[in-house]
Amino acid sequence: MTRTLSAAEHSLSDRPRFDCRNAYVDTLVELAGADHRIVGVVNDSVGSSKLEAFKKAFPDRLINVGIAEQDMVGVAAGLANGGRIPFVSAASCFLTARAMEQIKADVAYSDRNVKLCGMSPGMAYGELGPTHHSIEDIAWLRAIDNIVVVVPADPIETAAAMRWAAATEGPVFIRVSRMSVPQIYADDYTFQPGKAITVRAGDDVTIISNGTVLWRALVAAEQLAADGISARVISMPTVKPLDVDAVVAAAGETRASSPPRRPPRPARSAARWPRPSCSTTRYG
Amino acid sequence: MHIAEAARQIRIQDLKLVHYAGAGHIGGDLSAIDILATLYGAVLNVTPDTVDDPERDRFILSKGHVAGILYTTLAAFGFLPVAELATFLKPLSALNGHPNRRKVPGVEASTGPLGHGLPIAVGHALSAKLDVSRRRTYVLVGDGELQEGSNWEAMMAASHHELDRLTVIVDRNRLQQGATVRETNDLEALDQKAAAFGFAVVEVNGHDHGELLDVLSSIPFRPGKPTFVIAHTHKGHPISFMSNNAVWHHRVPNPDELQRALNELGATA
Repeated sequence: MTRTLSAAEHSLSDRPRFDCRNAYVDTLVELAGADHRIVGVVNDSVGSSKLEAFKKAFPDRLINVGIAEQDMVGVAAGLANGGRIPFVSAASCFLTARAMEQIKADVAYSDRNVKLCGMSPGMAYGELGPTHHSIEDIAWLRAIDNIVVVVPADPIETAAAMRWAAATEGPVFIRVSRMSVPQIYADDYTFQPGKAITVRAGDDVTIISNGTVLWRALVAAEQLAADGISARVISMPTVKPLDVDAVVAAAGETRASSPPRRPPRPARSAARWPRPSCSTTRYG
Repeated sequence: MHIAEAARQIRIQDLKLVHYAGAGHIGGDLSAIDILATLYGAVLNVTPDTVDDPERDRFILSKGHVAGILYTTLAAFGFLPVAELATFLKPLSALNGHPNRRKVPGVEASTGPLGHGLPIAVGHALSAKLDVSRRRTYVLVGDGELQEGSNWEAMMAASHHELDRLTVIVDRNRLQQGATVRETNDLEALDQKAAAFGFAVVEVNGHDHGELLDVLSSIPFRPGKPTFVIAHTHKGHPISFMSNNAVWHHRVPNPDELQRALNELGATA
């Protein structure tokens, strides 16, 4: 069962924060120790993917193709042909944009058991400028048939999604944040693909979020509560396939989806809520 | 079956395939067929019963637009029913214009966009090395296809990892879609480029089954190095009016042309 931390446990703004890449490498080492088929494939990204521990533990199983993303994804597809389970770890901006056709043809269309791990996505490389921002990756990947797109929100969910991906045959894209986030999920969280999770109950409005923004959505919900607005927060770790039922249910059950029961408040936060059935936070 | 006779029959089948489907890439098909017939007839350690055997040799057709010749070759060697060839390019057929590994037994990679097969082959050769396996990897690329940069990324990795059970075969027919490779974006000196990228380079007559067999069955050509076979071929070979003519990149033979081509191969429609 999935349990989220209670409201009292949350106080998210004050909690310690974690770089999800640490959970990523810890989990990859753990998975590789249990399954010899797992290999890492990188584009000179050992440091930026924090894979030093993996390299130390499995030096032969970390394949560095150099700065060559098309080759990297093609090589991963070939490794899968040979029975390996490649975890491709590269900055999301380069992995997705540079190797898009290999992702489409060699991985998704070919139904290869490749796990694509987009590191430091969104605006994580903010100061490096737009060349290094990866704000398109989710939109691109979700348009491709036959690939599951997962955007974990904290270290627990990152690890859980990786365990699921390693145990599941088929193409998966996992977005791994470098922007520090507090722990949102309890330690025994189990990732369920395609399932939304209500991380905060609420009746007035619904906020649907994922990734590094989820904890901020929870903070926003706390602030709304102070204004007397009960905000439901739904975590949507799987962008594809999307849990449409959860969106429809929230649209029917929370007030923002139907005519207001009372006149709109003049309060600043309430006034921001738009007419559509629910507001979706921006990724990254 | 003798390789030369297999190649002749596959050519006959392929000419009919393209004629009746009304589409295809007959020029590139005919330049590659002797390479495929040699591989499937005498080199590759794979049979219709071992298409899922982890230890099988892999052949990856990178120039996926000559899918017709892959299908006719696979049919000739029993990987798929010959009757299925009649569905080529038809709606709901498994035999698409570019090979789909999910639909056709024996197809190792879904190719079509150029520059994909060589990186996949490098990945497979790496998996074999990790497994300490003697299984081999062969990939056929077009010469025009080598204009794609991904090939050179993969070639760097292949020599860096000393993948000496990987063989790249170039179908060096010197023609691409509408013109010669030289006119378009010249590859020369291809042998020196491949050697500089760390490959053992060997040149063969790509229509001579004996030469092909000698080289393709003596891998590694040089221990510690991947092999780069430049197979000199002619688009449309050996049909007199098709050979070395860019028009036949994807022209479809009409009934008269089909008959003339079949006559040249000693066959009837």
